[in-house]
Amino acid sequence: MKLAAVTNYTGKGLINELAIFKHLYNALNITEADTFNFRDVNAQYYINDNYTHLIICYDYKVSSAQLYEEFLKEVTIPKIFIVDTIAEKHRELNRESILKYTPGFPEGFSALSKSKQNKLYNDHADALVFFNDNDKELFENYYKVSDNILKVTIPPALGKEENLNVKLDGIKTNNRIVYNGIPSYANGIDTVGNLIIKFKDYNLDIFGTHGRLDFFNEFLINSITSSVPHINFRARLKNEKLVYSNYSMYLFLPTYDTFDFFTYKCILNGVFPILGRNSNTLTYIKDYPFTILPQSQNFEYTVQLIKKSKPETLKNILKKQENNLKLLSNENILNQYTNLINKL
Amino acid sequence: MSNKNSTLGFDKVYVINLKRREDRRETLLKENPEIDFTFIEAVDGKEVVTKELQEKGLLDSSFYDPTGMVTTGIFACALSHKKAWDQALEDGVDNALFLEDDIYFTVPFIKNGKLTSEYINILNELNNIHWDIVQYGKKSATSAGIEVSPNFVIPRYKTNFNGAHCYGATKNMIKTLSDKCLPVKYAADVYIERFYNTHNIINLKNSLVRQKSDVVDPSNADSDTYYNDYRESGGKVGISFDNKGNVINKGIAQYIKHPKDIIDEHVQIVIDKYHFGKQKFNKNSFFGISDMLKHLSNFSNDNSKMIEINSHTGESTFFFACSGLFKNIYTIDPYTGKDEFNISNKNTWEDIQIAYSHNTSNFDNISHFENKLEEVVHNFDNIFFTYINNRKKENLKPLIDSILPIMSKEGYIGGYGPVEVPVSKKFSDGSWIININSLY
Repeated sequence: MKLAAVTNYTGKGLINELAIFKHLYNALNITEADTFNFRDVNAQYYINDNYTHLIICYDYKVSSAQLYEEFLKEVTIPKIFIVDTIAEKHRELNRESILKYTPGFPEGFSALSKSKQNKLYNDHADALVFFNDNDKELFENYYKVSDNILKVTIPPALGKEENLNVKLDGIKTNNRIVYNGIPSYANGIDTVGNLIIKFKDYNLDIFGTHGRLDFFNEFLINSITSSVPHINFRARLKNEKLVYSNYSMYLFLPTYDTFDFFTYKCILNGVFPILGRNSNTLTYIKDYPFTILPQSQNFEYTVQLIKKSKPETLKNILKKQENNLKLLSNENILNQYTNLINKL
Repeated sequence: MSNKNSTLGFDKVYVINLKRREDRRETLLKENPEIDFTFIEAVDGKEVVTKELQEKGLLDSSFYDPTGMVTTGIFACALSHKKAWDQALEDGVDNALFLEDDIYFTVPFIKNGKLTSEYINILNELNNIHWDIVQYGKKSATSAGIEVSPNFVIPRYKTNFNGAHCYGATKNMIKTLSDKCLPVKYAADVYIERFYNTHNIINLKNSLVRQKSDVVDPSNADSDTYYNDYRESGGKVGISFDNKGNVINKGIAQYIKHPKDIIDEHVQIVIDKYHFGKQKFNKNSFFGISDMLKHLSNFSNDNSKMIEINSHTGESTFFFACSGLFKNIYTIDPYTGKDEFNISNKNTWEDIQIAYSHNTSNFDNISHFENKLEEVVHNFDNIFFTYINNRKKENLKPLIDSILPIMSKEGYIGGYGPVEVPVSKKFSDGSWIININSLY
């Protein structure tokens, strides 16, 4: 088994996706030399000659499938598509957010249509990999792909098992809260803004970029930061260690998410995530206690709980997650992919 | 940031200036006597030759631009910025401000040896942001994006007007810019914008440094304003092809490709890829095919039809059409699969289709089938001549058997490349023909 990957995620300013794919490639022993772009001239023939399977990580935020079609029609080895999120769900959320905040504003959501995605999968996929079961179910609500295409849930990898240990000396309590990712409606940035506005003693620093080119993100974040002085946008995070040493909590209240990599990184580095109860990120840390509904009282209670709990209790909470996170080790994920590939 | 007022808080202020534009240098010095400029002699667009740049590895085979703009001045400008970055690295600066020589400051940054309070605010804000590049001016008066401080925004990719006439960069960023810029694929400003998605590039909300050519009065745009090539050639500013899609700048562009994904990509201007005549148009091929056609002319009539299998770029199709021997020419090529010529010439099937279109566009008796032979062979009958480009050096026997039923009994099968069936006649370029009668 020798895997290649083809992607167009690089150079798009994405944060979560890049972290996910970087670690997934590591787990699957896909090196930089084994990673191709859809624009690499004649790469398909090199892939056919040198690899057994192709992992496809494509961005749904494109205006045409032509590039993908042209590339994939030349690939003769089995193709595994990573469905890292459900495009149609994002289309709905975009509509919802515009109706909520700027009714009458053009939708301006450019992404592959349902029919184009259906065609892409039906014409080229041998298997589809989802990051959680909820996404798999959601996908089947929107798309119609042949039953001959295998559909499995395999989460992304977090790293080598030996490195997935919680750094308990990183635990701290202060009023500094952080978020790292695309400040979007799907990622709940408006929910966070509406919640934090009342808690003037807490500073929320948001790291990230525009990502996925949505104009609406800019509108949202500018509205929030201009009306809530204790929320600041800090641009792209250049040094993760600064987060782990300066902030005690990570706030993520998504409307829809699939797998928030940074949540798990925070747990491993002693920063407490406060997660929305409907977050799919909870799939792999099911018994994690600091989950909330986006309500002031709920938030306040949880924050106080984190601040007033004994250090030993907090350490135990994080330590308990260590075993969950080890299930997302490179070794485990590689095994799951190997099982999948054996079925193709 | 440096506390040197004369370099506006940066370690150095570099200015890219053409040697023959002493006037611009003098104007800049006269207008800004308190700023300590370090001048970099610019690469002159009037002196560079595209082919030489490519041979030296300085220019890529394709050039990408949001609107398809391409001139030698743009290549030279990109190389001049590279020269400035390299000088900054050699000088060992921690950061630097880079200017083009036709800029002006819309508000003073320094007065009587002291930085103005407005500019001090800007520097203070900068000190609180982890920036890689800071743009003091764009081609537009303002920049939109996510606000990171009262004066700065993170601009959206490809939604703000470009411009590289005044930007600061950190040492690491200068190194990245320098390391990744060759061979040149983008104009300097477009190249910088490519880093929006991977680095922290921030813009002043209001452009405080403008380029004289960007202001409304056209008299400010002099002959070295890079898009004047378009004005002189009658093209629209910023567009290198006319409204019919013809490339204006034919000295540089072989052909253009529109982006397949409008969200993500620029127009691709192919500078040095496959072009008409590169593959087969040489003396041997010309006389070989010509002799073959001369021979066939003894047997063809006014209603003769032919098929060409694997027509590829359509060069031999062009010969067949020129001969006037055929009432109809049908070409068949699925434009898929591994092709050694495409790989060694870095051509895609799209390039081949463009070349085919160029080669056959003057003839109205040519019809193309983008299929495999077996998918369309049943559509033909009474074919006088079938020509097989045996590009993959395959065993032709099964292929010949499959086309025999559609061939006229008096017809011929010809081809180029290896053949294991006895042939009736061979020609100087290696072409051959087989009389159909000999196959029965």
